[in-house]
Amino acid sequence: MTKYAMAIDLESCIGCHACTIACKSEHDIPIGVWRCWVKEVEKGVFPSTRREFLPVLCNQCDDAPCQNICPTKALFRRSDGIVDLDPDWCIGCKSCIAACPYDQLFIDPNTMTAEKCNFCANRLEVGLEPACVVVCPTQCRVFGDVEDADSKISKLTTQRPYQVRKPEYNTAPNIYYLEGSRQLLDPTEASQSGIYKQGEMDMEREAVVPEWENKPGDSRTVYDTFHEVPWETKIITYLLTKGASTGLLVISLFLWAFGFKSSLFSFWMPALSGILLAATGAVLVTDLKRPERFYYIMLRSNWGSWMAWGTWFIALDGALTLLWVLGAMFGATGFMGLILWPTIIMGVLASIYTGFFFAQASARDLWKGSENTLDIGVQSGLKGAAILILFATLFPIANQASVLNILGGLLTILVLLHLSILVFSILVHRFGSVAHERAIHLLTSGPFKSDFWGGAIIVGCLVPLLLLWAGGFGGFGAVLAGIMAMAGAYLWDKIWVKAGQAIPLS
Amino acid sequence: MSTSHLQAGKGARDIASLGRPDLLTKAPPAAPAGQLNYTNTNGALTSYPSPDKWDNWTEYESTKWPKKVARNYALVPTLCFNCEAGCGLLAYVDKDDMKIRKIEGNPLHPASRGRNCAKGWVTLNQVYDPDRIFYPLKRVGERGEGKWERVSWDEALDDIAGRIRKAIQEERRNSIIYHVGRAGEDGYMFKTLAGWGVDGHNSHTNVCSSSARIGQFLWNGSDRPSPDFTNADAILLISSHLDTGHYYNPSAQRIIEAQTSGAKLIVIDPRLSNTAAKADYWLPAYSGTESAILLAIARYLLDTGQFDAQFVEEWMNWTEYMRTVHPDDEASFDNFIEKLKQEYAEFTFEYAAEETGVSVDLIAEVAQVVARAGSRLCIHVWRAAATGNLHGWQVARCLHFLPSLTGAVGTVGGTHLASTHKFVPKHPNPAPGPKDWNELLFPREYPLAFFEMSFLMPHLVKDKGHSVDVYFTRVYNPVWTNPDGFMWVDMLKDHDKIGCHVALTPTWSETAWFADYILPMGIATERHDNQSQETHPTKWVGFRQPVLRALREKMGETFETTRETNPGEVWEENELHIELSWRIDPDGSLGIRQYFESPYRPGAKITVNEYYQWMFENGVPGLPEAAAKEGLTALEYMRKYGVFAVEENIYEPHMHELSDEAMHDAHVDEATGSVWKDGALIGNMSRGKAREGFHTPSKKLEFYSPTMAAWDWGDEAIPKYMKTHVYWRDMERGNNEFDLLPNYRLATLIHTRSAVKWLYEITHNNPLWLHTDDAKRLGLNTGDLAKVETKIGHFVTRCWVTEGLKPGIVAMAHHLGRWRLSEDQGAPRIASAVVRLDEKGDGEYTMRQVHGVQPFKSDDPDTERIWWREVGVNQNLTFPVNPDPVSGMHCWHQKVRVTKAGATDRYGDISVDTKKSFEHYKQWLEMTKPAPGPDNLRRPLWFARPNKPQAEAYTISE
Repeated sequence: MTKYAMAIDLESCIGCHACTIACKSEHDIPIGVWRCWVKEVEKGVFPSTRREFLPVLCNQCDDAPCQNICPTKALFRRSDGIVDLDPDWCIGCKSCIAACPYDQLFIDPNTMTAEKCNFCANRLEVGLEPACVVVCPTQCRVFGDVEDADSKISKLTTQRPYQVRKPEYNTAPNIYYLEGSRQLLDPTEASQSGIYKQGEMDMEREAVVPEWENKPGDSRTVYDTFHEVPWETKIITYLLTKGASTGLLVISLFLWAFGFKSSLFSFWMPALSGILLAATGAVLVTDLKRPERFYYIMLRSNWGSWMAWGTWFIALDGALTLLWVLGAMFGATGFMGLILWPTIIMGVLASIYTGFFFAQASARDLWKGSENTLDIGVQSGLKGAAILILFATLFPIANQASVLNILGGLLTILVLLHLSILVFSILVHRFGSVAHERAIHLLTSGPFKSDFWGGAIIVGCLVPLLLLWAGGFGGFGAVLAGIMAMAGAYLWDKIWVKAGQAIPLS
Repeated sequence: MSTSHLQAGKGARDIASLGRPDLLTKAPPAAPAGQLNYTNTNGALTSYPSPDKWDNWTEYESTKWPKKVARNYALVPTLCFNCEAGCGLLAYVDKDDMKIRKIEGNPLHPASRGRNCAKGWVTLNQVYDPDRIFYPLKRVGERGEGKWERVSWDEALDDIAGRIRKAIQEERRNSIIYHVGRAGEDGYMFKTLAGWGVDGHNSHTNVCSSSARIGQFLWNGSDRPSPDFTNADAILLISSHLDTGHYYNPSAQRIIEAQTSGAKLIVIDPRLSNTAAKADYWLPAYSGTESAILLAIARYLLDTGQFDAQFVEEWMNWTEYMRTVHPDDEASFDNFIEKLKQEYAEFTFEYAAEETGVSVDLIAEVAQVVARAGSRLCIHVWRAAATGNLHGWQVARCLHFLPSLTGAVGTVGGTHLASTHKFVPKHPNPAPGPKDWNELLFPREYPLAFFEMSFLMPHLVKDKGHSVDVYFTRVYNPVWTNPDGFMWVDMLKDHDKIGCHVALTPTWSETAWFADYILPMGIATERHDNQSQETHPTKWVGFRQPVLRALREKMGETFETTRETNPGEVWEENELHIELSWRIDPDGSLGIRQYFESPYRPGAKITVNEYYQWMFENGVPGLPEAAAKEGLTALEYMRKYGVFAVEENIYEPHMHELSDEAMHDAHVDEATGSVWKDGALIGNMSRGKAREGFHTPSKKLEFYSPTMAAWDWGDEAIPKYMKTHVYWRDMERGNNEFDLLPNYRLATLIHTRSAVKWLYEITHNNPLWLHTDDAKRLGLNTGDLAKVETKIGHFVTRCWVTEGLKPGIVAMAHHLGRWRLSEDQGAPRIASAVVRLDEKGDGEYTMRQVHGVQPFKSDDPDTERIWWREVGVNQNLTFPVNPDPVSGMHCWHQKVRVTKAGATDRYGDISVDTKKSFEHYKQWLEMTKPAPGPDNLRRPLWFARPNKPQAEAYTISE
C-alpha cells in the first residue's frame, strides 16, 4: 500500500515563500486564505539572533480531527493516507476548522466551502509531485511513499531524527520536520505583535492581538498568516436557545409526569421550547456557509461526528416536542404518556451532545474537559428552570407555591453545580496543556476577566444564590435570581466560546 | 585543456555521503539532445512532465477536484522577467481556450533546474494584473496631470521616429536616451542604439551594483564573480544570496547544497538577512567597516603562510607593485610577501574587532575557516556594503583579495569570473559603436564611473545645461527608485529639458505618470529576448518568448507581430525597435536601416523570427547540431525547450594554454612571466606553460592597479580599508543620529516590477527596523510612528523593533512605498497609497497620504478582498545623491536623525527641499578627479562600457 507523507528539512528552508505562491497558483487560492504558508520566528538576543522558517501545510493526519467531525463525510481519508475533501458535499459548517489543531482548513470565499491541502491529489493522479515540492529552490521538501523502504522520504526519515507539530494531540501527523526548534513548532512559544517585519496582520484582527511588548529574550513571530475563528455570535446564541429549549422541555415534562398538570407545563412551555428549538435550528442553518445544503447532514451522516448525531437529536427532539404539543392540544394524555420518556431522553441528548461536540472540536483545549458536557446539561436545566420560575410566578397555576419551591430548589442546585464546575474547571482542572492554561488565563485575568468574574461568577452564580438564600424560592427574588443566572450562563457561554478560540494554533 | 593538477580536485560532491540521500541523482530522466534534464524523479512521480509530452499534456483541474476535469495543455518555455537571474519558466497554455492557466519552472534550465523563487510563478499574476496597460496612451493634458488618450501604434511610432530622425539629421544623436532597469536581455539594445549611432544607453547600475563591479574588475577584468557554490568548502558573502542578489534562486540552490554537504557559510551584514539567519557565522559589522575584517583575514593568511604561494607568485601582479611602490627594494616574491605583511600589519583581529564591533573570537574562527577552504572558497559582494558606502568598491577589492591569496580563482569550489560563464551570442547585422561621447552619461568628473551616471541625470541636466530630445524609460521607474526623486519630477515636467518622454512599461509607474507616451510592453510570456547569466560553471543561453505566439505558430498560424497574440495591443520591444528603426530611416539614407534588414531577404525588414533564427544558427556553438539531432531547426529547438547549455564544467579558463600559433614569434619576460607578441601582452606563464590568463591589461590578478594609479588614485591602488560616509564613530548617538540602511532587498519582491497580489499579500510594507536598545532610548515601540530626518528632508513611518539589527543602525526595505496621484491610475492599486503632492515653489515638496490601499472592483474577485492598507514609505525621495568619486555608485546609506513622530505627523508624510539636494550634489562633485587621464582619455580604454563607443570617442579632442 502506498502511504504519502512529506519530510521538510528545516535546515534547508530559506524562507523564500515560493511554496506559498506555488500553492496559490496550483489551486487558485484567494487572497486572505492559505493552504500552505511559511511562518517565521526570531529568537535570541543580538548578536546571537536567529530567524527560523516553518513551512506549514495539512498534516494529513492518520487520525484526522477534521474528518472525524465532518458531519457529511465531505472530508475523507484516501487509501494512500491523503485527507481529501469533496466540496460538493460540504455544507460549510466550519466544524473542521474548529477541529484542526493546525489551522489548516478555511472557507474558500469563491465556493463558500471548506478547503484544505490534499498533497495536490490532482497532480499525483497524473504522476506529478505536489506544487510546493516542485518549486522549492533548496529541495527542503521531500515527498513520497513512506511504505516504500527505497523511497527518498523513507531513507531520509530513517537516517535523520524528525518531529511533528503537536504530537500530544495524537493525530499522527504525516508532515515530518527535520531540525525544527520548539520555538518554531509550538505556536504557544513565540509571541505575536500583529505587525511583522515587512507587513501587518489583517487590520480588523488587530483587536484580538494582545498588547505587544519587546522583550529581547523572547522568541517572536515575525511573519505569520491570520485565520478567522469559525465559531462566533451564532454559536453563542445556539448555546443559549438550545440550552433554554431543552431545559424547558425536560423540566416541564418532569413536572407534568410528577402530577403538575397545568397547561403551562403540558402545553405552553413545551410550545415555547419548540419555538426556541426552531430558533436554534434557524441559527445553525444560517451559520452554515452553504445553508441551502443543510439537509446533506441527514443524507450523508457521519456517525463518527457529534455534529451529525446532534443534528439528529435536535431533529428528533423537535419532532417529539411537536407531537407532544399536538398531544397536549388535543388532550391525548395516553399518547403523551407514551412519548413522555422518549421526549425527555431526546431533550437530554439534544442538550448534552454539545459537550461532546465541542470536545470533538479538538483544536481547542479549553473545550476538552468532560466536565463541560455535564455543565452544558446543568446550564440547560438552569436556563429552563429560570424561564419556568418566571412564567410560574407570572401566571396563576395550580400548586403555585410547591411548583415554585421545586423550581427554586432546582435552580439553587443547578447554580451550585454550575459554580462548582466552573471553579473546578477554571481553578482546579489542569491537564498540562499550555494552550489550556493560556485560555484560562484569558478568562480569569485577560480580556474576558470582567465577563468571567463579574458576569459568570458574580451575576450568574453568587448573586442568584444570595437572592435565593435570602429571599426564598417564591416571589420576585427568585425570578430575578433566575434571570441573573441565565444572563451569567449566557456570558459564560460567550467567553467560553471566544477564549477557547483566542489561542493561536499555528 | 590539459590542466592535470585540476583533475584531482574536479567533480561535484557526493551528496549521498553527507546526510541527504534524497538528493542523490537517480537514473536521469530523458533529455533532448545537448541538454540535461533536471526533472526530479521520485518513485512513480516526477516534478515535471517529460519534454516529449509538452505539446500535449493532460492534467486535472484542481478547483474541480475530486471530480476529474481534464485540462489539455501545451507547455511552452520562456524566461522569468522579474529579477536579473533569467530563470526558466514553463507556461501551461490551455489549448481549449488558449489561456495561460499556470506558470511553473523549466526543468531543462541549467541554472534554475525547474525550481523558482516566489517571484517566478507569480508571473501568472502579472499576466492577469488588473492594472495592466493594454493600449498605447498619449498625454493630453499637462505632463503629470494624468490625462491620457488612447492612440494607435502607428501614430505613436511616427511621432517618436520623426523626432529621433530629426535629432539624427541635426547631429543631435546623443539627445536620445534609452534608460533601462534590469535589462533581462543581452545585446539587443546595445545593437539597436549602435545601429542608430547613438551613445544613449543609460542603465540603473549605478544605483545597484557599480561599486561591487569595479572592485572585482580591477582585480581580474570581469565585473562580477561567478562562484562555484556547490563545491565550496567556505562561502563568504557580503550579500544576501539566500534572499536576493545576483542570482538569488540559482545561487540559493547551490549554497544550500554546499551547506548540506558541510560547507561553512559566513555572512557579513549589520542586519539579520535571511541569509545571515542561515549562516554558520554571522558577522554584524558596522556599515563600511567590512574591509577591516577582510584585511584581518588576509593578514592571518599571510602571517600563517596559509596562502597558495605558487598561485600568488604566478598570478598576482606583484612585480608591478614592487617596481612602482617599492622601487628601492629588490622585486622578489619573498620581498613582496614581506611588504604585504607590513602593509597590513595594522589589521590584527583585535583591531578588526574594534572597528567592526564583531568579537575577536568570531573573526579568528572565520579566518581559520577561510584558510582551511583554500581553493574551495567562494566569495560574493552584491549591493550591501559595496552599494551602501562611500569607497564601497574597496570592500569588493578587499574581498577579492582573499580568493586571490588562497588560489580560489576559477577552481572547483572557487570563485570564477562572470565573463567566463555568461554567454552572449552574436546578433545579426552588428553596427560599430557610436562615434560621439555622451557627457550626460559619462561626465568628465567620473572617468572611472563603472556605469552611466544615470542617477545624476536631473542634476547634470540642471547643472550643465543638457537637454534630451527623446527619453525612453524602459520598465524603469527612476522617480520612485532613484534617490532625490523630486529632482526627477522637476526634470520630467520641464519640456525644455525633456522633449518627449516615452515610457515603455507593462503597468503604471510613478515615472510613467510624467510621460508623453506610455507604450505597453510585454512581460515574461509576451516578448522575445536572449539572456544568459553566470550562475555556475556552465555557459547557457535562455530564450524568452511570447508563448501564445510561439504555440499558435507551431499550430500553423502566422503572425506579423507579437502584438497580435498578446493581450490588448501589448507589444514587445524587439519588434518595436525594428519598426522604429525603419521609420527613423525609411529609405536607408541615414545608414541606419541596413542594421535592421533581414539576413535572409536582402533589403527587407528583419522579422523577429529571422533575428533569432540567425542568432541561434550562427551565434550559439553546438545548438544547430543538437537541434538537427532532434529533427528541428535551431530556432524550433529553442522555441520548444527554451534554453541551451553551450558548455559545461568550465574550470580555470585562465589556465588555457596559448596555442602554438599564438605563441609563434612570442617571447616571455622572465622577470614577470608575461608573454608578449607584437608589442602586446597576450598571456602569462604558469606551471611552465604560456596561459591565457585573466582579463586585465597584465593578464594577471591586479593586486596593485596601475590604472588607478594612472588616473590619480595612486593611494587607492591596492585593497584598502577606507572609512565610509556613515562611519559609526561619526554618529552622534546623543543627537539620535543613526546610519540608515535603505538598500536591502527582499526575497518576495523585486523593486517596482512585482506589485502583484500574491506577493503583496506576503510583503506589503517597509517599517523602520530599530534595535531594542535604540527603541527603548527613543521611547519607540513596534507600530509607533517615527520621524526620520535626512539631509534634505524627512519621512514618517512605523517602527519595527528587533534583535536582528546592529544597534546604531536603522534599516528599511528597498522595495516598498509605492504611491499614485490619482485614484484609478498612476501605480498598481494593489500596492500603492493615494497621495497629495504639493510643491511649495522654490523646489520644496511635501507628500501626504490620502489613503492607503483599498479593495476595488475588477475582473479578479480577489481585488475586493485586499486586506492590507499601509504599503510602506518611499524613503528614496528623501535621499540626496551620494555619487562615489571613483565608481560613480550612489552610496545608499544615509546619516539620519530618528525621533518619535509629532502630533501632526502622519504615516507616509514626506518633505524634501531640492535646493538642498542640489547643493549636496555639488559638494560630492568636489571629491572627484576629472578626466582627462593619461593620453587625454575620457576613460581607460580597457574598462567595460555598455554600448561601447568607437575608440576615437575616448579621447578629449578640444
